[in-house]
Amino acid sequence: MIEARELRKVYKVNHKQPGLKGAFANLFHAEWEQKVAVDGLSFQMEQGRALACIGENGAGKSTLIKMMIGILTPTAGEIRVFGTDPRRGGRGYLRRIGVVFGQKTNLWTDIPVIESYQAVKTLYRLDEGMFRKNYDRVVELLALQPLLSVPARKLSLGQRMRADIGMVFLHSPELLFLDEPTIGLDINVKHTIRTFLRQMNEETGTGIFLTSHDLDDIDEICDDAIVLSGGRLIYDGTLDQLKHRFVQDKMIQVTGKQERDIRSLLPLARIIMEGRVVKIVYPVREYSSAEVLAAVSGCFAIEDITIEEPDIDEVVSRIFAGEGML
Amino acid sequence: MRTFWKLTAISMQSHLYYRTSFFINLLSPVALLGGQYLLWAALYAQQEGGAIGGMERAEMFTYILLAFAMSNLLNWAGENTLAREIKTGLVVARCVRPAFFLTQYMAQMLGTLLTQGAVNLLLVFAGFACFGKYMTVPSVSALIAFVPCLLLAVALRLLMIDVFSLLCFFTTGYLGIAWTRAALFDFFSGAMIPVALFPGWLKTAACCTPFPYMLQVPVAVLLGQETMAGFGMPGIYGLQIVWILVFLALHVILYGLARRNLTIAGG
Repeated sequence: MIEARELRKVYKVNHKQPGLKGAFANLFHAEWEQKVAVDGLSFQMEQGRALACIGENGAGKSTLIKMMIGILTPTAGEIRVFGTDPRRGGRGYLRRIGVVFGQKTNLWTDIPVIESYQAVKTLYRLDEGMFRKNYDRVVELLALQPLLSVPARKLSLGQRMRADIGMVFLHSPELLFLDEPTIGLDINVKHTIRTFLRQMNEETGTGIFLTSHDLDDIDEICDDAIVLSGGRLIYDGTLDQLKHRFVQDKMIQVTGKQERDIRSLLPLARIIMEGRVVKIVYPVREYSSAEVLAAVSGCFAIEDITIEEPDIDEVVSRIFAGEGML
Repeated sequence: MRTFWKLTAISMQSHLYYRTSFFINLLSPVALLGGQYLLWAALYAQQEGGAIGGMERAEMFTYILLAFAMSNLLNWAGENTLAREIKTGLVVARCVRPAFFLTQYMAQMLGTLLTQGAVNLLLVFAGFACFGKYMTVPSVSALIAFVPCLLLAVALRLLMIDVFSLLCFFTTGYLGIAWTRAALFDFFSGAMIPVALFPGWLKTAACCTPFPYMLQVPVAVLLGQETMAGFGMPGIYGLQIVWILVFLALHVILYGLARRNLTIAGG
């Protein structure tokens, strides 16, 4: 579905000297420097998958999306989506994809939302049956009914984003590009949008390429991930592998009577007692989960047990704290 | 064409949606027309009825009304829509819609000027109906020659605005570009002062720019005046078409350059 090979994008930016003197000097002598936004990126995304693009600010995520949707030209390298160059795919290509930028709306701002939806029907040449089916579905799942008669300009950020996400599904895109779709939204709206996107990905097979700083978005929507740093690819694989490679500790939480001291069996683990609840934080390099579970079952009359999954927040903070390249 | 007309309808609908804003935008330039009338009335009073720059009082008042109607087809907000979208990054929405960039732009601008154009036409009719005896009434043959000239003039102006707006991809100072464009248009098109009143060298210089073909020339055709280009009607249409092609070429070049080194606000 997406195939990028040695993709590179370099911007020419005006380097200005600091201060008033520098401002005057720049009027007569501009200094240009090259800024590498994307540097030799190669990756693939299969049909129907949900891929997260993780990176700090300025890592090249948005530039990458703009090259994939065909509005930016790569400086070098090659990108193919559905087997064609997005820049040359023209209107046919744009009809197969959907794009949502969290900070910008695709709705026409001064007309009611429903009019924007009708415009999509004309622009994408949708037949009435297909349009009605998709329309009914997004209106129901995103609870859009009360918003349809309101111009986008008058919607709150969360309402507008729901309307934007709904609009992008009207033409049944095969691949969806989402750039920070939940930025600035409250927890309820985020949950609605994540659930909707995951459902559409699973039910309709719409591929999703997502960039987000909200790691819960990534965790709930995506299966795979690429990690960018300074425009370079530092990880390409599944989200689960990413978590497990970077997680140093795991935790098991046990409720029940302790019949034997577990410290003797797991001397390198950290034991935190909270009344009848015991938290066992163990280094994954020293103990496997099976070993820990065996030790727990030998030491406790277990009433309840919870295994904490590794947290993507922790993974990402470790990556960007420079705790290891992949 | 369905896409084009749908986008035109959306643009018209957007303008009509906010009632107060619509009426203010529509009618406020009429004050400017009143000011121009008073200015020229004072100048002609000093001439004691004589011609100014070869233009009689009746001819001038007709010119003012027609020039106003054509110049005011687009207001400041409408003209700068694309430039603002480029500056804020909202232009990306146009780039991902399955319609040509230029088609979307032309449809949107047409929607803007159709509503204003209808009002301006009413004003022109009202002007002729009330003050026709003090004005030069165009002949039917002039009117027939004028219509295609007007359509070409409008297309030329829209493309000129488009090209200036695309320059905003390369600088953050969109207001500077917009003011430059407005100043060039207002002066060289004859919107402020008829080009016929310019000194010879300036008239020649103006003739080498596209601006008179957006306003002065069509009005001159309608009033049966000698066009400053000195060509017959086929020549005038031809020159307008040549300028349209020049701006189309500039659009293709600038849009292509923007896509090669484009930075859209907000990442």
